[in-house]
Amino acid sequence: MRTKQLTASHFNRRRLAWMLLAAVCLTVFSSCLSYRFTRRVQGVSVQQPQGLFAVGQTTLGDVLTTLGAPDTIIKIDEQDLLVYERSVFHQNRFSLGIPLMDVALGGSVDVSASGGLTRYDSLAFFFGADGVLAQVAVQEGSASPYLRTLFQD
Amino acid sequence: MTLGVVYLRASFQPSGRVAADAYTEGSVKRLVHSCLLIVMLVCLCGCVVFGKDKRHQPFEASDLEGLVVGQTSAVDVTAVFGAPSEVVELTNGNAYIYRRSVAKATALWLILVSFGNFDVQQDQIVFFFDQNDVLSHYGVSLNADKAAYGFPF
Repeated sequence: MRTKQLTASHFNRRRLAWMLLAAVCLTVFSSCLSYRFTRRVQGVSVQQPQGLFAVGQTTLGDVLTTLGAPDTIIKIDEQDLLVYERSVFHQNRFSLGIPLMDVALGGSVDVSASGGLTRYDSLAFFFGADGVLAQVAVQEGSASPYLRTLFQD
Repeated sequence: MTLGVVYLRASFQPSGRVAADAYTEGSVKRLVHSCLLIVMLVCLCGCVVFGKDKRHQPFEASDLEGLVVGQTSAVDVTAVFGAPSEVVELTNGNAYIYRRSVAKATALWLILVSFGNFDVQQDQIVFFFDQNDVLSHYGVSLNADKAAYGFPF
């Protein structure tokens, strides 16, 4: 009987010790591996014009009435450039560190890898001095896949 | 790993083997539950953050009603809308840009994983003036109220 009680008590202590150890390990080591995902969107979606604007016919007023105020206006030589743009930034970050090393050695081991990619959807209109559309350029960067674009040279 | 060690040590206890085995059956379940609880507590504790960043420019879209293309001058515009955020020289005059933006951020920090989402939208009015500083065109984009909180997925 006494042996049984001692054994049960022994197991209680051992179980408690293991649970405490597990809790400490989980608390300490869980903070060393982390993943962070960030997204930043600026601007509204840019619609590609489908036969709305014609070079040599569309005027500055037509574009402003249809698309509103542009995000960027630049004068290039004898042309005015209006740009409508939306940017989408994605970042993935993995981090692996061993916090216990701080306590043991006074320094930490930290390995991290991150990849950030900003893709632009842009619609650019070039106007001549007479205010008539001279050229249209479209860039649909958001259609590019994240990983392939990130690791592309 | 921890569970395995506890179970083996309990099973091969030289004295009170029967009691230890009986004890272990129930205790392993409790230990599993306790460990699961600890894992959940460790993984799910975190925080959510909401943030808002505003770049204010005190203009009202309703003020546009008083403007007449071909008559209103740059002086009239600045009298109503104040100093522009940016002035751009164009081939046939200037453009006055009035801009304000709202950025909304949402972040979720867990122990192992964290997510961040930033949405930036802006209100913008662009006035085009000819070489005599008379209003020739204007464009309006009001999207600041489209900025939204949310997660990046």
